[in-house]
Amino acid sequence: MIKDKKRNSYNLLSTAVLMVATLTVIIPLLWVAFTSLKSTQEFYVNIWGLPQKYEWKNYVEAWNKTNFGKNFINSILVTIGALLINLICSTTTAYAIGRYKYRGRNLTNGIYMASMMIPGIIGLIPQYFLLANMKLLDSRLGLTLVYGFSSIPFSVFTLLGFFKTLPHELEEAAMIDGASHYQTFFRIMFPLAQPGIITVCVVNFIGNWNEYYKAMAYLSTPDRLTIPVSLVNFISQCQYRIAWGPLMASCILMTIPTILIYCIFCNFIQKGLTAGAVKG
Amino acid sequence: MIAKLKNTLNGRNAQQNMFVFVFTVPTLLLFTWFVLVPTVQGLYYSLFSWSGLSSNMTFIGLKNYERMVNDSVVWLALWNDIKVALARVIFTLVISLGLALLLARTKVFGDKFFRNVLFFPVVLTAVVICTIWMMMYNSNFGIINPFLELFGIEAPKAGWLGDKNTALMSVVPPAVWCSVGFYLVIFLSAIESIPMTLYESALLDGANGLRQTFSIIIPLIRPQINFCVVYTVISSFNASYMFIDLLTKGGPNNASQVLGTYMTLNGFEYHKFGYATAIAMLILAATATMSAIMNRIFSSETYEY
Repeated sequence: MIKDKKRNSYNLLSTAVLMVATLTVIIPLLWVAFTSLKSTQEFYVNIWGLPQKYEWKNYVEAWNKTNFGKNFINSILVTIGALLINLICSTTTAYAIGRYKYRGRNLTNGIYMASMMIPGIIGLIPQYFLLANMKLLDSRLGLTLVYGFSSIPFSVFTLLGFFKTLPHELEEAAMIDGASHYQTFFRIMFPLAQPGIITVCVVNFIGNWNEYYKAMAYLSTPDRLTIPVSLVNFISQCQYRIAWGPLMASCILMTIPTILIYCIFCNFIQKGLTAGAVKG
Repeated sequence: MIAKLKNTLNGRNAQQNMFVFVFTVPTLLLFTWFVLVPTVQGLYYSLFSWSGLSSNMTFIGLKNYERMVNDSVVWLALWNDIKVALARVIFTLVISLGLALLLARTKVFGDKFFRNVLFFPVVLTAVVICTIWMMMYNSNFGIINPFLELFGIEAPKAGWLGDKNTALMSVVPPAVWCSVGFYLVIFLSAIESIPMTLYESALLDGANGLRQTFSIIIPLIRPQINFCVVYTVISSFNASYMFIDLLTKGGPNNASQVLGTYMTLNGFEYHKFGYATAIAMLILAATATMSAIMNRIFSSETYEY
């Protein structure tokens, strides 16, 4: 009896601590949502509360300001393009590394694994000149290529885990039936690795969608920017008096795709992002 | 018969080699071109004095490195990077491990909800995170000052982000805020995979909850703790660059300068690209050294169960 009581109070205490931690996440986000619906005058008077008058105009203003609409489309193009490049390259590579024995296999794998340990910021300036030499600076294609190839190590690593778990009888059966290596890959292995592929897609989508410092360095024409850069420009444009309502509205607009994907693929994201830690 | 079989096998082998070639080599070449070559090229560029135009490239040997050693801002930035990395490691580790233990070891109603909400900031972009925290730090209407006043802590006059003593450390809370969920999920899945029998036999030996935590859970999740520490350090050099760039721009008066911001300042603002890439090499060296040290401290034999 006494032990039960003690346990119950532990559980209550633990719930309370977790509530506090969760509130530190929820309160700022709610505040952003409320602020996005207040006019600037109302914001300075009514800082915390629910908006008295819903100012949907903020969203219109956010969309029209700093080419947000165009930049939104740019972001989608770059993100999806990079995702496709990455998917084609990493599924094939991971399949070859995971299912075949050949000379140079460990070397290839080693190169990808080692480059996961290099901070991306090292390549920032040399990549800038690489793009400049290829006449791809200030172009969405250039950024797409950089994003697509930079995340290959992570994708290969994740997909390797999935390809390695598939049973070897599958290939043998396919081979006996006369399927070529390519058919085996496209018809059998690719569909079976679906959970891994979804994980890679979702994680890459979020990574590319959020990426900011390379886009900031490589793009300059307002029409070609992606939205994180557009948001930074928005802030620096109103140096003296920030229009908090529209600013928060653009934060929300930018986060909507992320929220949608997080709600649908929550488990894939959590598993995918943390997969690296399982093996250390 | 055997010769024929060998022939078909060889044919099969040639086909297989071709297949492997098609599937790996083009990707590797493109990856090398876009990612590996630029990394190595940094080392080459760092030996030149260079304004970014190809005609202005003059070889100066190790002069950039010599300058770097004598540049007090570089040392300050390096020290700042290390301070932020250490603060991030400590706070992230303690908070995420603590919350993971609470979630795993006590019966909490709605544990999935807690986990999913706490993880959410991980998928937010640094730009949005920094905008939110800029608002929270604001001295006119931010949420942080009234909260701290409850405990009698007063904000500096120039605001947390504007004061030279607090600007640097002000980037730690947002950075911790958006990475706790990540490690929480890692720890949680590691703790959940520990078999129940271990706890049961510990209970028979008279070990209570706290003792079980420190004698069973912590030793068994050492690999994950090690990962948390090393990975936070590696990503810190990347992440503190973004947070500093967005929140303080290295100011006031270089007080919150980190190597990343100093690198881009020298490169894209002052057009000293040779010097900037030399700083990039310092970042690489510092990251490698820090993670080697952390690995040394935190690594241990792994236990099988």
